[in-house]
Amino acid sequence: MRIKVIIPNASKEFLATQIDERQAAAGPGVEVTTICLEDGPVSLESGVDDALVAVPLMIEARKAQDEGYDAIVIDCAADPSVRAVREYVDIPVTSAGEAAFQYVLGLADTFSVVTVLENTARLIEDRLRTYGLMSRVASVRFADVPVLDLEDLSLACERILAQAREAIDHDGADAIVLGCTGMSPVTKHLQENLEVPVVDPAVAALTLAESLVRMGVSHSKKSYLTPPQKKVEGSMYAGWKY
Amino acid sequence: MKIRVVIPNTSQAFLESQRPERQLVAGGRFDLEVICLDQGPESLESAVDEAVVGPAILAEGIRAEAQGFDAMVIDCAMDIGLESIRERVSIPVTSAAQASYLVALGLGDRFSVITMIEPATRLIHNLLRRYGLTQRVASVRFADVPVLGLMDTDAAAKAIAKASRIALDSDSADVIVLGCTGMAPVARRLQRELQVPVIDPAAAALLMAESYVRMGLTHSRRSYHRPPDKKLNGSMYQAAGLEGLGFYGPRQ
Repeated sequence: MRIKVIIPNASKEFLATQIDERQAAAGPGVEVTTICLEDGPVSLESGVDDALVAVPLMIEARKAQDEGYDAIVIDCAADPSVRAVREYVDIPVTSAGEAAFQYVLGLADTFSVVTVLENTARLIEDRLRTYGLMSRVASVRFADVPVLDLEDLSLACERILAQAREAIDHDGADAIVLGCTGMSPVTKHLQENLEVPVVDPAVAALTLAESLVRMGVSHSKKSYLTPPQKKVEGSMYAGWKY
Repeated sequence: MKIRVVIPNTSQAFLESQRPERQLVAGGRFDLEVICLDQGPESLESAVDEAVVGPAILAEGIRAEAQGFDAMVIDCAMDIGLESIRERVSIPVTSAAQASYLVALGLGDRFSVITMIEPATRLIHNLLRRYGLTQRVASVRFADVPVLGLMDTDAAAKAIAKASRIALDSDSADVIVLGCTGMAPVARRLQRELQVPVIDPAAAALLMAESYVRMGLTHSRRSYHRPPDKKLNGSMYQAAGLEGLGFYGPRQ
């Protein structure tokens, strides 16, 4: 089984810090290739960032399908452009936020998400509303650490743990979902210091993608219909085709 | 890794018809044991069945943990025993209905559950309400085939497809979730026929169990508190065969 993990930002430095983690999370007989985008912002923290990555993300997804990959992972807990990507390809597509929510719902009655910035928290709330899952959400909190600063591990651990603690003690969370795939190194620290399950969204998305391939299922073309073809003007879109 | 799948009924024939399917899902990646109960009803289709089988399935959950399994799967799309077993054990426990609904969330906007007989639709609606997923459900329909009748796979496929088509055409369903683990043998065939994702709940539950073990995750004690210990009177419970394991906790 071959899975393409696409980090929807254009930071080669960030990619370098994530590749080994994704490889380590791969299941038996699974070959994982992790890439980032050639075009786009260096991190994804807002709705504007999401809009900017949409076209390059779709192009990479279609490329992965054409290259014979069995599934695609959108490696971002803000679930950017997932609907568009699912319209654009037929092979299974998982996304880190959604996958983490799917797994956490089988572990606890309520959960909180701890993400990077307030902007991202609003974005994730919007997703949860769309998914119809708000009744199971205790809160969406943010550590106030930009994605590219998560490398400062002690700062990240301290801030994220503090938010998780508040979520459990004050918001009624019975489980924690990390709200950024760049937070993987923090998972262990949280698990050691909290008495509740802590879900790593990057691992969740990869594991779910493997399960979908093993089940022989992919998303419904009744939901994610093939888009109508049409003319697109402008040199910015020279590389685009429906 | 070793996982135990427990079909919470006492039908040997049903077990034999399902075991090969579960082994295929495991694909040799881990040790898999598939068993059914030696005490209880021969199939589960009602709330009475659920109440009757309660102690027997709970006992199996306790045994699975005591015998060193990494996870236990309740192979039943009414999630019978899930709450009680999660309170009592610490290993991950998955169940067919819950797992199948969670997988469905990432495959389409709305899903329909196709269960076996009409009374079961009520129990499934209750589950969906409890899980807070009603916004994503198009409908719950039934194939009108009792659980043990599903072993006639051609008849089962025909009946399930009929109900599924109504769900897809009239209820705005995008995804079909099979509402009985006994439907597993016809899942792929139905998917080819219907041209939408068809979720085998038994496979979903087994893969979710494997996933939790690999990710080092288990259920939250804040949601599933350990049950307070207490005296349990009556010879009925001695016959559960727990020998020192205890319904509430280990016994000397």
